[in-house]
Amino acid sequence: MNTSNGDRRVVITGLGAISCLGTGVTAYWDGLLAGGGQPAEVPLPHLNMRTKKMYLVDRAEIPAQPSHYAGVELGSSPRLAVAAAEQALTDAGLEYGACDAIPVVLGAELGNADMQEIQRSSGRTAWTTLTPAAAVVGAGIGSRAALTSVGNACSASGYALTIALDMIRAGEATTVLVGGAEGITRAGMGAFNRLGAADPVRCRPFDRNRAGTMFGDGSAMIVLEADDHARRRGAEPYAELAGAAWSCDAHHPTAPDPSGDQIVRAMTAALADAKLSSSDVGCVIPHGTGTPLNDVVESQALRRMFGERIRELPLFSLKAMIGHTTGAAGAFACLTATLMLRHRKVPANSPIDQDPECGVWLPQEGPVLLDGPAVLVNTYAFGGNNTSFVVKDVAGEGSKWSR
Amino acid sequence: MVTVSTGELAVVGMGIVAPGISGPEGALAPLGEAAPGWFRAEVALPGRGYRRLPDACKYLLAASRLAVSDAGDRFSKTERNHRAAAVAINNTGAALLEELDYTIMREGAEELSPSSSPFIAMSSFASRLSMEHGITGFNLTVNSPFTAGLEALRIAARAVAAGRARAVLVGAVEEALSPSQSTGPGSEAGAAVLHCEPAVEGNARYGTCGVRGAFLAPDAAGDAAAVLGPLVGDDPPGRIDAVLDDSAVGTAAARWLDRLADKREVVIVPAPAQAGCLAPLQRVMGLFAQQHTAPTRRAVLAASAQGTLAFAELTVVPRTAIGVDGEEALAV
Repeated sequence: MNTSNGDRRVVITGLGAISCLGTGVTAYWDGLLAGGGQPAEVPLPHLNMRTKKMYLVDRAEIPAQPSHYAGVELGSSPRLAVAAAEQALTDAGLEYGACDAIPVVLGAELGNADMQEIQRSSGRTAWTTLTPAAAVVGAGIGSRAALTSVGNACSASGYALTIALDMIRAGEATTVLVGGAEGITRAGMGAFNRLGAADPVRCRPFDRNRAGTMFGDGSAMIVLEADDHARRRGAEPYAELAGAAWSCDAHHPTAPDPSGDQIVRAMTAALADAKLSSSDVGCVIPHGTGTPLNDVVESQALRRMFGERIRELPLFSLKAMIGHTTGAAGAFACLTATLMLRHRKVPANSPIDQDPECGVWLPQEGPVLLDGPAVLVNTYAFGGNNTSFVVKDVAGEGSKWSR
Repeated sequence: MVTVSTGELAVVGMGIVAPGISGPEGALAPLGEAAPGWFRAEVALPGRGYRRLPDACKYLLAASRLAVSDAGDRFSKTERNHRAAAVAINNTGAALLEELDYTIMREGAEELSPSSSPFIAMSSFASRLSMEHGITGFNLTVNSPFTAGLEALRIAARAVAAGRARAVLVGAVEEALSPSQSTGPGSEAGAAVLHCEPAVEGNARYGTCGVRGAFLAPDAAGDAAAVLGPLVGDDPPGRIDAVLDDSAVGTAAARWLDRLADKREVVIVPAPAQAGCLAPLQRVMGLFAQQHTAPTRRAVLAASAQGTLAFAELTVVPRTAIGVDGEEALAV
């Protein structure tokens, strides 16, 4: 029987990404510093809707393989996940294909939808699983450990990261490959168009003219590892996944609870789990989707968390640069937080005409110093399914951030 | 330091809504065909606010009501922030997704139903549980092919051990595929929900369960022994119900189980190629509902064509009958 040890430290030792900013973590960070990506029209047939754009991975960069798995024809999402997984394991110094003891935990919402939609447009209607990606990655890395596929929509990989954290703390694994992957989806875009939640211009959270979100595709994968295990094998951690928490609004099928009580509770519990205080937070990566109510409620909740300091605490509005990657959004935010800690800076936000109801600081003039040892990340989803997690500096333990 | 066992959950309430299944005690029977009218929402969910929900959402709500009721008022007495849900889905939104997509293709997105559109997020099927039962701890959806129901039990146990909840509704919900999606008979419809709590002494009304997982890639199915041996362990329970399809992984698992057949009762439950995640959790429920005069160990193994494996090990507490509303008519 395993035990859960909240004191066991869990560190990040490998990173991988493929997004509209390119392939690889360096391209990703450089892309953020350069101002992010631009939306483009989605290459799917029968796209009968007003807003047809997403932040897209360059189609030439999407790997052609694996094209099939266990009889299922694969769309872009599983192939992106495999590509990002290989990067992350290589980065961690682990041999791709020989990771039999490493579990995969993946956030995937409408994973293989693009393949199904292409097939439907050509008259092929037989149903195959929407969510093969975790198994495809598991097979690729040579895993024999239990796989987990999380489907909590836009907070799926926030949940996945927490599950992976709990697995290592519980002693079920020393190393977990965790992340998220999403492709393009006609049905998803159509539904958001119908709900009035698809911005026709771009993804512009906290802008006074925001009109909804805009999706992005891609995959971010992260190697999480027990700190003692990483040290024994000589791996240098990027950062620590120091704490995480969940909550649920229990309020409305799609809209956030205007009180923000449960998202404040998640942020508070995540910091407590990390044994940090709000003063340790040097940046927040908000959920910030661009839907009018979400951004106001989250801004107000952040003010409750940080008080007047919210006026000088930088927020980084990630979705403005890579779109809303839904099931992969938490993994991309974790990746971004880790890179901020490594480079000790917060990239400049995309220019916006800020909504005065969103009283947060989004530095836009240029990168700012990351002045604190931790980055707080929020991910939320339909149904009020919330996660918050804290990524903490490890190099800073001997530096000015040492507490 | 917080140190908690992560192995097991206690099952204190059960509810099932599925064609041909009258209750947990009948859950070892195969699902019936989802003939029109098999589910009467107005009976299962009287009151307002349910009419426009997809049927699968109604199945889950109805099963959750039965499970919560079966356990008395324990769930409502749990503080809201410690109430949680972990729900498995596979084909739950398949027919609806197809319908939405055809509407986009043929008429345009503006013609989509506004009440159906939110269910493009597959976690929306489970999210309604939170409003129904005041769940503010967490509401988690898992979607691994076929094994997700058992995976939900595993995640719930881990989350309870980590202090993220004290009462979890662990469920699986499926909806029948559309005629154009289905390649054969047997797609599942219905929902099963187990009301679970920490496995502390005296808490296990039906029994306790723990779930382990593993992965066997289809092209490595020849190595089944190396994966299934550690998964099942050296001292497997006296009866193992294995829900398996005829894929390479399912076939390899069935062959491996043959070696146990002379020492253990192995019940192979055939699953169709497009099966969802309901049957394995339904099997767990059926085994918990059986009557025994002494603590009895049971297990459910599920294997997907994609290679996910889950093994639920149960200890069923002694009971001789389950009466009306789940009250023990005579407990040993």
